[in-house]
Amino acid sequence: MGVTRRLIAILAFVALCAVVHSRATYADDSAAQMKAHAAQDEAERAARWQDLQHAVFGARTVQDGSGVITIEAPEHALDAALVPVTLSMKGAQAIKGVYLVIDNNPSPVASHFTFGPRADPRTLKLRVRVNMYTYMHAIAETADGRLFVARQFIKTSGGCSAPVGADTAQALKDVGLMKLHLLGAFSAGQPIQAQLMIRHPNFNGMQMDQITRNFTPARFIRTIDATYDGAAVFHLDSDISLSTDPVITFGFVPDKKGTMKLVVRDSENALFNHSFDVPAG
Amino acid sequence: MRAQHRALAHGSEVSAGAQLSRRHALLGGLAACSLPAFGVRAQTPLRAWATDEVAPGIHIRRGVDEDISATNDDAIANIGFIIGREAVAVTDSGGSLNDGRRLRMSIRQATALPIRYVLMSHVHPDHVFGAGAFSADHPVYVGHAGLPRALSLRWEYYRARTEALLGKDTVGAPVTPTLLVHERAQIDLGGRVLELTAHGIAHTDSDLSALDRQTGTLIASDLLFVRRVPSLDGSLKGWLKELALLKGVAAKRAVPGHGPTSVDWPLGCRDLERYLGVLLRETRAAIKQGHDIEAAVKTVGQSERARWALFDDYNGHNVIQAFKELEWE
Amino acid sequence: MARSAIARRPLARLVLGSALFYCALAAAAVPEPAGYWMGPLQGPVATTLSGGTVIHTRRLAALLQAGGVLVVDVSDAPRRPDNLAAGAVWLPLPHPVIPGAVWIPGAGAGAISASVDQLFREQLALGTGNDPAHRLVIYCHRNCWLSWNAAKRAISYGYRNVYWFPDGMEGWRAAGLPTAAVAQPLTAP
Repeated sequence: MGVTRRLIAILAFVALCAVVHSRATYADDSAAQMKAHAAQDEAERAARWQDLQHAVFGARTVQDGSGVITIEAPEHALDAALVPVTLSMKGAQAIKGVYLVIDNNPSPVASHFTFGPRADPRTLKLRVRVNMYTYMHAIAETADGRLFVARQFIKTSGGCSAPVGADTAQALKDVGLMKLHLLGAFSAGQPIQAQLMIRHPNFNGMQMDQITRNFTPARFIRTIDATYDGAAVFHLDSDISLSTDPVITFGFVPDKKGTMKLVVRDSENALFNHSFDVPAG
Repeated sequence: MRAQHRALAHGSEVSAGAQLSRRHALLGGLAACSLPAFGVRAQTPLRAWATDEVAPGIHIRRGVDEDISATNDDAIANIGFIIGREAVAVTDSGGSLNDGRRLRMSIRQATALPIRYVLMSHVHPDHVFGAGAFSADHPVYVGHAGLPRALSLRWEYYRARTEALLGKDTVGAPVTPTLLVHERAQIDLGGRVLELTAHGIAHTDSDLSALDRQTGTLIASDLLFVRRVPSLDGSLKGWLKELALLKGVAAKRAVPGHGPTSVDWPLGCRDLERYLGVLLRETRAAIKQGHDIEAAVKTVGQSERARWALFDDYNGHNVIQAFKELEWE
Repeated sequence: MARSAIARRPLARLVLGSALFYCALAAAAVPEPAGYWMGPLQGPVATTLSGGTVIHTRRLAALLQAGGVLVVDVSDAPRRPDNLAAGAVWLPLPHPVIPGAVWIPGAGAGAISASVDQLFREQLALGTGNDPAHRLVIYCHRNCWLSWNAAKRAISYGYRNVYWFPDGMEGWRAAGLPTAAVAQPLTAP
């Protein structure tokens, strides 16, 4: 009897030791997936940009953009799924196009604008999703094929995985609806800014319903073409980094009163077009 | 070891006593040390929350006017319970399992009646992350018909963010309401009926309010903010519309989601209506004047700055939501 | 009536009481599913794996040092949306892994397709030299069922020394251990 009791005591003691030894806890890191990449250092960021530069521009030289292009965006963005970005290209050079790269987004080339003969490329504004702390690089391409870069660091995260909100449900109902506002008085032959608004959810396919494990299927704008009386203003190649309900401010030079036509194509190959009288009414 | 064996074999408790107490302490110590292995944090034991009895049988714990932090257990919302003749309803369960556990202790101090219902007033974590603390009571979890979808889209997203601050296992597995309110519903706590209303999109797209006719008390949750700045996560125009409807309800007091545990009704929503009105007017004006969203964030609502706690933490975000909604008018 | 032998012995009472206490706690833990886990993938996980061994960071580090171990990471990869433009740059940030691990994101789902099954079998065979006794460690994240499913699957393939590392990358990092980065996961065609 004493032996049995001693055996019980020893076994229980051993079990206790095993439990203590094997179950030591560690500091929680349940947001590790989000935090892990926030721990990049400058060297890693520089390496990432090198990789992206190579992926997008190959061996072409990309020069410092001072005097050619600036990029502005809030350093601490309040809403990672809606980060307003302003690109200014006010130098003397003729600008052919501009790229916006959000380095740490999984699809880093957020947009590529190509300007047509009716464009005034000096100011461009758009809204993007930012997945985590990152540099944004804006690269202007001049008419003679040179590349110039400016950058801005953004501190925010979660823009790509942010759950589908009430606004995206609304966006899907009105998908393709567009508005165009002139920002200023129309004067034939004078450059003017316009704001284009498009209802589109821009589902990026990364917004997950965690309980069903279903991802809201990706459905996003692929291209936008703006033409004024048939002459190109801009062509935009875009994908999942553009925010829900894109709002794009761009400049153009109307030679006379006319019509701005917008053609939007999305990843489902849905086509939306709209024509606006300029000036309105 | 031999002495111990002899002591056990001969059943002599007196002579084994000295050795036993040392071993007792050793094993006890081991036991205590291994508790963290099972997620029981070595910390001061939980105590019940102090509550205000804002009306007979309606007890509310005021949340602190802070953002979630490592030291406040996300106990930042007003949560509480209503006692009927036969059962208890929990009006929001808190921002973490500990928050909910402490509320449960408060309930048990007040009554032994079964906890039959746990209301989940909307999708935000500071109101529903304590829900798991009541699972042993097998209550009916109640919410807006749109709440299951909203929770499934957001629970894990919020959970990761909460646990990053509060630590592992502070939130628990997702809890989904099973009693879904599409427009109106009633629950009976035994001679005490709560009228539930599922609202159109307002503070969020899953807002549920409760009215206790017995005392004329409206449990408004985050449809009502007092002193702590409101947060807009649904529709600005919708919120103003739902507030207008709620003002007509037969209640003389309301329990806000944040702020004092009870305010007069409908007077108590005056400040909220004013803030939302400012947001509406000034955002519309900014849009009309062709301001960008980033410019609007800096200017809209600033006249309200001194009147609300946590203003700088939320106003900018509110302006963005309002701008996104109104620019399509 | 004399008190029971156990009741008379404070030591035995304490030990038995503790053992029962821990049994009760263990009973409250998530039970092992009979088949693969088909529920939500994030949440409290089982504490055991039939046919395998549960391993924690210290022991894993020692095991890896001894060598002869294939480590497999089955955590999710960022999903490339369908219909990205043909020339679009899809470049998620490199995925941190336990150094030397292979990354096979699909292998931990509750139900997998024939092509993912084939990929997993092939990669395991490759990494173990087709030796069912070769040591295999499978992990993903803390509170994630993917690695439990994948480990169970590996056991079903006949591997006899399968270790499941439930603390995952979070546990590894929390212990201050180094990580490597993998640019591309192994995926089925």
